[in-house]
Amino acid sequence: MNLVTNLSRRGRSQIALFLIVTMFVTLINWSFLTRNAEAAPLQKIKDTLSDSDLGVAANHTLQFVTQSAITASGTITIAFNSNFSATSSPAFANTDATDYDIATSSGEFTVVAAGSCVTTTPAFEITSVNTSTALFTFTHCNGSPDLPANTTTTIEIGTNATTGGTGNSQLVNPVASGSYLITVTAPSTDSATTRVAIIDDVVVTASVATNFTFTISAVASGQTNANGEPGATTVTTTATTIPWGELSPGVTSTARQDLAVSTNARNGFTVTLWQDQNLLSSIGADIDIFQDGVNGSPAVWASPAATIDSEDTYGHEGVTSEDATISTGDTFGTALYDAIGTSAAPLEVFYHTGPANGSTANKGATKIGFKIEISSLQEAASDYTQSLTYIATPVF
Amino acid sequence: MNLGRNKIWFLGIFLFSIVFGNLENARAEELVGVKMQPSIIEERADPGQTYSWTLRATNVGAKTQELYVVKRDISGLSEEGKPTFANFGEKTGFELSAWVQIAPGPFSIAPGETKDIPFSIVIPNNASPGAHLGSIFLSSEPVRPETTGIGIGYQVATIISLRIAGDTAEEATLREFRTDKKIYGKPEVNFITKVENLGNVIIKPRGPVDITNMFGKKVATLKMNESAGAILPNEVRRFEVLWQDNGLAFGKYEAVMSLGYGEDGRKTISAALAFWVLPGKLVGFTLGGIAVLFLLIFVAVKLYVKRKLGHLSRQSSPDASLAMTPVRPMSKSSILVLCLFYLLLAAVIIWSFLAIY
Repeated sequence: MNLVTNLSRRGRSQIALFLIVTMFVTLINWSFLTRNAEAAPLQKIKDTLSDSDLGVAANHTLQFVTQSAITASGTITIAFNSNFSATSSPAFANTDATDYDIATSSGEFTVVAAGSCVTTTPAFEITSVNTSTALFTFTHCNGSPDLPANTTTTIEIGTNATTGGTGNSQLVNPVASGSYLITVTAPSTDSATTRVAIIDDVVVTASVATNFTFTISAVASGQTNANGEPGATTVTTTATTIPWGELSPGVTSTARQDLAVSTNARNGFTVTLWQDQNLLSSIGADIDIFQDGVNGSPAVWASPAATIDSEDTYGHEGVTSEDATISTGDTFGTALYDAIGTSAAPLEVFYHTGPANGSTANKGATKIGFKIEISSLQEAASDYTQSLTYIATPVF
Repeated sequence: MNLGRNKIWFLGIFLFSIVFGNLENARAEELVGVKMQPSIIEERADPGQTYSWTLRATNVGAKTQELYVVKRDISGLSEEGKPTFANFGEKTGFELSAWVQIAPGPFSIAPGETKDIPFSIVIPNNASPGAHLGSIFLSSEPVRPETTGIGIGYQVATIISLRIAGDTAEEATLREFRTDKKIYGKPEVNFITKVENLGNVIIKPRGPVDITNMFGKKVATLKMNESAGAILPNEVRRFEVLWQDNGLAFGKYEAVMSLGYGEDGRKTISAALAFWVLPGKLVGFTLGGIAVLFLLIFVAVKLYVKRKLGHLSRQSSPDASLAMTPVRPMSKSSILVLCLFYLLLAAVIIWSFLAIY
């Protein structure tokens, strides 16, 4: 009661304002919400073209599921986006029914010219064709069997209409690439829209002109390390070897190889790397993958943990890539190292999404860095060896 | 004197041969690689038929290469279209490596030399219709060093994609169409879509993304999957396209994407979404203007209501209207109720604005 009393003067005006605005807004929204007619939408509507290229003649196969039966004098109208042209020669006309087929899962409907309705078989007439707006109107022949509700209906327009004669007219696609609406109303209370994509054709060159060049280049010692690793390479590589030489505990060794890809493959390429084994010596000891034998995410270089009785922590070897556009992003960041992959799970080190010229960084060329470090616990041997394989493939 | 000069000449020639002789070996180790052509083969084929091609391999390195042939099936493509190679003997459902007849090598190719390697694909009579995918690698085997170190090899692939005639089905569905955000401060919008291949042939859906502003005007048309990336049967692939506009952009935008696919008739899958571009400064200025406008409306309505209520009050009680009614201060609960009313009012206005546009 106190609340109501306190609101009786100042609060009353506030409430009045709120009610006025709410009513106004509700009225506006109501007018928008009730703009559209209360109609049942056709289901599963789609249009398949014989060719979706720009400005070409194409056949249309429209398919939809009726919600209501199409009975005596009921109509089916198909309204194509105005950018479709229905004026190609020979032109569509309501006197020529051969350009249209109407069928359901139960059988064909005969399509007749305007004014030629039959009643003995299921039939529609092509009542009118507005060639200016690409609007086609079919009318059910009164007295002929109905087109039932919940029926998958297929309408062919063009030379793909072959029942009762082969059509000789076709719609011409829009000349601009885009997405175009087609509205089907069947019968007059039920409608739906579908879209067709009109796009320029891809020139097929795959079987002849595509080419792919992959190279590995050696890098001498004293050169800049890959991917922002401070300092210079300590090992001279060849294109086919990385000779680590004698390793000293607590001292890192770095090496680099440069990769290049040239290709005109439209979707680009990927290069992965895998090892057949850890660096393994004839005595059975190995130098593990970075970091400490655990294959995790790329990380800043850390010395092996050298935990006694944990052989995996005596020494490790890692790889980094300067390519900042691996398919997963800039995975290797700056001087982040990862374990070299296996044949079952090779490590991606180079990737691009389009044609490449073999020289542009991140797109045709990159640098691969290798790093190794052992601890004083690493077993002595002079023949820790392994084989690495780069796999270079086009992206399909 | 002549003898000394001759000695110098011989020494110079000796040193020259050592240096440049080793330089030649060094150059041989500087670069290795191969050029393959074609790198992608896509063809339609019929069961029971044999098709022949020639692989051209060029040694682009400075050293003679011994290259071997390796055949592998492709078990799938990643969302980015990267092939995943099947293990030897693994059944993928669309194998073809067993149909490939090619000499295994090694092929010795001198620097700069091009070697033609012919091969055939014999399609079995009972080959399943639809997509079959595999690869031919030219492989350089790594040589394991004798002392601590790594031997490096490489494999370069040619991808083969065949569409075997028969009962083929082309069908796709959109799994996703979205932007990376709902509201942007500037027109830099990344559109992402995922398409699933429900048929038994490879499809390459591609098409336009039409962007219209809140006035219905088309402001841009982008191309999704312009490079026609492929999707294997029963797989999903992700495509992206970026919209950037240097001009002024504000308000609600709609994007409609339609992707066409199929070779036996072009089908379309489409979807639409909405997003907002609300530049910070412009939004602040606009909200400020709206706030001032509503304040003016509020004051005007309040004055009107107060006047009307006062008039009604005087009519119902003439004697009382002559007396001054004391103004009581509002209680805390009243203030709270009024604040809630104002919040509701603001919410209704904002909601209606968003709903309208």
